[in-house]
Amino acid sequence: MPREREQATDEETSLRHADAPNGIVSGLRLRHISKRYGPAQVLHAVSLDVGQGRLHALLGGNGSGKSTLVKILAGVERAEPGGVIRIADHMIDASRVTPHVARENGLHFVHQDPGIIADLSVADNLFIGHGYATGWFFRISSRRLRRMADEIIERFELNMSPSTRAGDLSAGQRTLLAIARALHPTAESERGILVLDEPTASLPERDAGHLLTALRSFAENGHTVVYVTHRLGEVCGIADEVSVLRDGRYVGCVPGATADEQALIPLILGREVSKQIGHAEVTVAAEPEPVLELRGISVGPLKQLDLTVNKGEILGVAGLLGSGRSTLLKVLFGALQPDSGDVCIHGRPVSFRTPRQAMNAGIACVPEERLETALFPELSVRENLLIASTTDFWRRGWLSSRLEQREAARLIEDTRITHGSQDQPISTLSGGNQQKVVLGRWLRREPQILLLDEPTQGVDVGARSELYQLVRDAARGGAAVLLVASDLAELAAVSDRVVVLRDGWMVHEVAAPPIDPAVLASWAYSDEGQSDDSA
Amino acid sequence: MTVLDEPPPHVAPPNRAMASFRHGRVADILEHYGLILIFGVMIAVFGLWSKTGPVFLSGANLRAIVSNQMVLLVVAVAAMLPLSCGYFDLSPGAGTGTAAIATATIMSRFHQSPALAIICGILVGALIGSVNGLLIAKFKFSAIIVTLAMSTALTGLDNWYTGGGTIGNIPLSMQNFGSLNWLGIPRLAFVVVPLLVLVWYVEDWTPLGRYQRAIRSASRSARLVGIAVDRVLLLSFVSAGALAGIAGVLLCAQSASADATTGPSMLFPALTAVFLGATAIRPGRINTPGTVVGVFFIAFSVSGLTLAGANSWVNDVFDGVALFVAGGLATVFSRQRGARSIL
Repeated sequence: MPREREQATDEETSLRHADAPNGIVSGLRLRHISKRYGPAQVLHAVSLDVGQGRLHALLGGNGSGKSTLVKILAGVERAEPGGVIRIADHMIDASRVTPHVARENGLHFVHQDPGIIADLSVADNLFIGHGYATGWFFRISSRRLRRMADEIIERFELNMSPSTRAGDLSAGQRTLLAIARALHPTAESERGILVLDEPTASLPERDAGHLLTALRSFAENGHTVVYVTHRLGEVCGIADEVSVLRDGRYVGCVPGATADEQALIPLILGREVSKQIGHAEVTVAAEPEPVLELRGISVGPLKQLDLTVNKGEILGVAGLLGSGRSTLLKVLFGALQPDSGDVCIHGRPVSFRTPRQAMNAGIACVPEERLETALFPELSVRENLLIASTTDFWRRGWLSSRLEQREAARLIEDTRITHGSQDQPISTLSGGNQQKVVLGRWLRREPQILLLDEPTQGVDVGARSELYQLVRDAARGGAAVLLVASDLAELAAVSDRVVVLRDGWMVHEVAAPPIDPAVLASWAYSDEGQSDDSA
Repeated sequence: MTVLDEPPPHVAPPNRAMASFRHGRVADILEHYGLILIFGVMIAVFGLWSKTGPVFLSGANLRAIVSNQMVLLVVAVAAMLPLSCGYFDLSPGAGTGTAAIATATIMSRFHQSPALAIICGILVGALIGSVNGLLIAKFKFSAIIVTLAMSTALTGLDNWYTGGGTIGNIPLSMQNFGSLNWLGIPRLAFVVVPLLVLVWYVEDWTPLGRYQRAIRSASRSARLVGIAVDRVLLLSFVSAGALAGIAGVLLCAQSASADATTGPSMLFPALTAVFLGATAIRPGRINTPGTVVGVFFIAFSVSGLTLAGANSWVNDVFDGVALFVAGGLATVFSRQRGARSIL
C-alpha cells in the first residue's frame, strides 16, 4: 500500500512538471492505468497524452484493452490503485473514477452502441440522461423542450427535426445525435473531452465520412476528441495523432501526418505473440480431401462466398467485426439460414435448421462471447463438459453419475483443465479453463468439422498455446477446422491457410505457411482503394 | 523462498478456521439443511409447548396435516416444472380449479362415469398448459403475462360457470377415494407419492431435467449445444398443466365438490413452497424433495400456530418471514460459491 501511494505522488509531480509533447497544451493525460479481471491483466500501466483540441485516434485489435481504457475513463470499471488521470490541471485517482466524477471533469462518452432509443423523438433522446425541462407538477414541458432541442440542433449542425422519431434517422445521424447528447450540457465556451468507442463500427462508409468531418470540426472548435477504432483507413489523414494499444500495453504514438498503414500495422500486430504460441508443423495431407464446401453463400454481410475446408486442415478466417466471419460460422452451425448458396459435407448437400442437426452431421462450434453463448454459469464443470452429449450417459433409464464422473475426469486430464473439483460451478474457473471446458465439450464428440469463433478471447497467453495445441491435435485426428480470430498474428501462426473477408467478400487467400500477418492486416483493415494499391 | 514469503505463523490458524467455515462442513450443513433445521426447531417448540404439544403431535393431527396437503403438493410440483427452466407459471392454481370443476360437472351434471371425468379433468389441465406453452415457447410471449392472463381469465370463467356456488353431487366412490384411508394412509397418497417420485426422477435423473437447468442458466448457450429449447419449454408447460389437471381431480375427490375459489387460492402457497424448497437439499436449485419439505413446513407452521390460538394473519407473516430468511441465506451461500442467485 505505502509503495503504491509513493508511486502515485511521484507520478503527480512528474505530471505537473513534464512538458506536453510538441508544446501542445495537454487536455487529457493518463499515467500507469492498470486493470486486471481475476488472473488476467488486461491493461499494463498504460500512459497516454492527448493534447487539448486535438483529434486523437486510439487504435488496437480485439483484446488490446482499448475498450477497457474507455470504461475506466467513464467510471464504469475501476482501475487498479496507482493510476492517475489528469484533465487540464485536475488530478484524479484512476481507481476512484465514477460516472459522476467523469462528467464533473468534462469527460463525455459515446459508446459503441450509442444508446439512442428508437421509439423516442430526437428531442426526447437529447435530454434523456440529463433530466427534462418540466413544468407544473413534473409535467414535461414540450414547448420548452422543443425550443432547447432546436438550439442544440443548430449548435451541433445536426440537420434534423426535434420531433423526428430517432428510429427513422440513419445510423450516422443517430451517432451524431448521441454526440450532441453527450456534449450539449456543457456551455458553448467550455471545452469538454469527447471519447468515442468505435462509433463507426456499424456505419456505412458515407455516414462514417460525415461523422469524421463532424469530429474534425469539434476538434477545431477546441474540444478534445479521443476516438477509438480498429479501422486503419479512416484515421489516416484525419487524426492529429494516432496511439496504438496492443495486449493491454501502450506501444506508441504516430503523428497524424505520417500515420499510414506501413507505420501502423507493425505496431498493431507486434511480433512477440506468434513466438509465444509457436507454429505447429503443417499437417495437411498431400492429397487434399475436401470435407466442407460452400458455394455462393449469401446472407447478412456475406456475399457469394465460395470456400473449401480440407480434412486435417486449420483454415483461418481473417476480417474485421462485421466482415461476415461470425455469420459464416452461424450459417454452418444451423443458427442462421443462408439466403442463397449451398453447403456440402463430403460432397453431399446439407441444410441445417437447428444447431442439433448440424451437430448430428459432425459439426462442433465454439462460439464467441463465451459467457452468453457457451457457458452455463450455475452448472458444474462436469455438467458443462458433458452437456452436448448428455444422452450418452443415459443407461437403463438413469443418467449414470458414475460414468459421467469418469468421463469428466478423463476430459479434464486430456484438456489439462486446472481446477478444484468437477462439482464446482464453472463460473468459478478462470477464462482459460472455462474455454478448455467448452473446447473439451466439443472434442469429446470427435467432430469432423470444428468451428472456432475467437477461441482465445479473454484467455491468457499460456492457456492460448494449450488451446491451440488441442485444436491442432483435433486437426491431426482428421477434423477440418475453421478458425476465426481477430488477433492476426495468432491466426497466421496457427493456420495452415487463411482467407480474408472484407464487407462480406472474400478478398484474399494465403494458401500456405509462412503466413505474414501484415499481409492479412493490409487486406482486412484497408479500404477498397488502398488494398488495391498494395496488392 | 525467503522468510517473508511464508505467512506469519500466528495469523494462519484463524484464517484456516475461517476458510473451513466458509467452504467446509458447518456451512455445508447449514446451506443444505438449514430449512430442515428450522423445521425441526419449529416441531420441537410446538411439540414441547404445553399449550399445543399434546394435540400437535397426536396421530390424528399429523394425519390431518398430511392428507390436507396432498393436492397442494401436486400444485407445487406443477408450478416447479416451468420454474426449473427459469419461467414463471402463475396458472396452476386456476388450472387446478378449472379441472376440478370440469371433473365435477361431467359426473354430476352429465352423469358420466368417474373414469371419464378423471380423464377429462386431466385433459383440461393439459390443454391449459399447451396454450401457455405454445404462446411462450413458439411465440415468445412473456411467461408471467401469459400465465397471469390465463389464471385471471380461468378464475373468471369458473366463477361464471359455478355462479359463485359449488358443484356437488359427486359419486360415492370418488368421495371415498378422496377422504378414506388404506392401511392407515390417505388413499390420495397412493396417487400423489408415485407422482412426486416420477417428477423427482425426471428432474434429477433424466436428460430432460438437465436440459431444463441448462435453459434456466443460459438459454442462448442451451440452443448452441443442441438443446431443443422450444420443445423443452413446451413440454414443461404442458406437463405443468397436466399436473394441475391431476391436482384438480384430487381436489374434486377430496372436497366432494368443486368451486371457483379453492384452486386459485393454492397458487401462492405453492410458489412459496417451491422457493422455500430451492433453499434446501440442493441449495440454489429448484428441486422436488425441497418442494415437498417446503409444503410441509408451511402446513406444520399453520397447524402449530392455529393450535397456539394465533390469529390467521400470523400464518402469512410467519411464512413470509421464513421465505425471507431461507431465501436470503441461500442467496448468500450461492454467491459465495460464485453462482448467480435464482431468488
